[in-house]
Amino acid sequence: MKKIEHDCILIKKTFLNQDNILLTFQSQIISDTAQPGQFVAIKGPAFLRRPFGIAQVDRSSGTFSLGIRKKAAGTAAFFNTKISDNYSVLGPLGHGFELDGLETLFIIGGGTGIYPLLFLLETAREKGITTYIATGFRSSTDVLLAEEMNRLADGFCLATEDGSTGIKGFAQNALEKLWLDFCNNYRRDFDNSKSDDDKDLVEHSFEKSKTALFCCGPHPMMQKAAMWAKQIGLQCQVSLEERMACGIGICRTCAVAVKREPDAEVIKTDAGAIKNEIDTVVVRQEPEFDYDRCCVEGPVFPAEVVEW
Amino acid sequence: MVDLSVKVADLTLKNPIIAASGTFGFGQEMAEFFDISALGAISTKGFTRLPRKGNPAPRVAECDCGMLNAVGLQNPGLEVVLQKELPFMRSANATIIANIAGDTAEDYIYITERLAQENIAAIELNFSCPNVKEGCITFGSDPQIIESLTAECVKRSPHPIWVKLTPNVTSISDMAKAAEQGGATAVSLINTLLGMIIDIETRRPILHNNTGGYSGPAVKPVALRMISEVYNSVSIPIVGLGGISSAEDVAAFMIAGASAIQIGTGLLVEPSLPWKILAELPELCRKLKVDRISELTGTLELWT
Repeated sequence: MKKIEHDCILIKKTFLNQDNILLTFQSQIISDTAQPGQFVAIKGPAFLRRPFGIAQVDRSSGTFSLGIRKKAAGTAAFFNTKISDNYSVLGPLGHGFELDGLETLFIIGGGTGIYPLLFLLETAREKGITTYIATGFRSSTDVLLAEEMNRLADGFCLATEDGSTGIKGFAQNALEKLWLDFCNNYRRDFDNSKSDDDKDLVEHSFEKSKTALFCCGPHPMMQKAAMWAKQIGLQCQVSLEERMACGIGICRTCAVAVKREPDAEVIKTDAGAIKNEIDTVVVRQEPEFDYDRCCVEGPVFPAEVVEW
Repeated sequence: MVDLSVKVADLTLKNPIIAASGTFGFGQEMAEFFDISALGAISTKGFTRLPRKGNPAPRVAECDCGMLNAVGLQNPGLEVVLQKELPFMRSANATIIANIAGDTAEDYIYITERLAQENIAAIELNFSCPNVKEGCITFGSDPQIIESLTAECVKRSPHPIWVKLTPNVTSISDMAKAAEQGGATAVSLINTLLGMIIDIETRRPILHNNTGGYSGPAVKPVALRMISEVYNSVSIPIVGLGGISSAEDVAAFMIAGASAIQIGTGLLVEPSLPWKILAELPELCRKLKVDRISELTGTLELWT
């Protein structure tokens, strides 16, 4: 039987700014098995565990890190943690990003959503995937992990709403700028190709089927980015967040509305047994979509199934 | 050797620990990590005649010493339960308590009939879910309906019928008496307490359903009081639940009058909790000087 609960010692605390902290825990099994986009559920002083996307793993030292923003009492408690304290951690949990078959990856992140993107960038780099990341913040004082993003990604564009650093605007503006630059470079390389072989080479360097957009951040940001990806024909995966209790799929509280697969209509299977009875059954008004569990089927979903 | 087995009327369970409905699914997720056959029994996620999608999120809100939930009985429906969920539970050697719910009396009767041939230990009639508009809690707040619907199900079932009661009533003893009158084998109590949590910035309830069921250690004193009261009002056994999170809690619930207990919210936070408690019970029994844990049931000495 698999082990789900791990005792993890806090070994490092890095303050990124007053309200953001990176906590590093010891756990060989979590660092060995975690995939980008997965999360852990950690028990602090609050009643329920808190789910956090895994921000970094270091397999050689058997550690993993979580980025935490101070929101309310539950998250604030993690700012008072002490090195060498022991924490009960469930994980790694959920379904992460699918990187198989990708060669070029566009990424958009904002808010606490940028933490799991560190792990994603590192993994993509190991797999030889070219990455372009766009992040957005309110102002220069809110900017997080810019150095790391710049170091790990092949292309990085930062936006702030007040324009105090990077381009002025939202993460979406930064994403569109990265995309435009990418397309222009591609066209220029193609036009400058001297032979047909060169043209083939350039053409091969960008295939839409091997290119994707991954999103992690505030809901409206991801919704907008997913619409944009659909317009230009890029596959898109989004990492969603929902209030959660157990983290392991048993309580059904972290419901995410997803489009129903026509074949998956369960009610059909009882047609035989219930057919004659159906007249007497009060048929309830049920929504058109289904509810998946953010903690098991997610947190990463293909954007096209999400009922925004 | 301490004997952990208990009896709920004629049903013998190998220990008093039952996973509470709605906090264990149909055992599949937990079976990946734990031996689900080691538990006294598992009360399934409440299921209905037809599949249900449940309420929109947020469905959970944390509060002091517990949480509110408003899942709204999301379940795959009777046919999937019969074809897939119950066979899995049997294959894992779990002792099954089928928790059933409905909008109408006919729903309960129909499901009870369809379960007649199934190899299950008992049926638990969910007359107490506070998060749906029809059936459930509306039935569980009316002693006449409790009695008549329990009787209808008892009449049609070879299985023991347990009635799960809501604490959101003026007198839970009256509801327990009605279940006993209707022929229930046992009553399980308490389901969640109806509550609300408000976000003062948005001035909206956090739960999309506005209200939800309060569970966790905070409700434990309420549960103990109600179990003690019901124990003195009916002669059928009680299955106790409400905030249990330690072996000592199990003992307290049994002393108050429970023959067996259920663990719910506690295991959502600590999935290993039922097994951890199970491992601690023999030592606790020795400390309390009982050879059989069942000796604890109803030994509460009230002040006079």
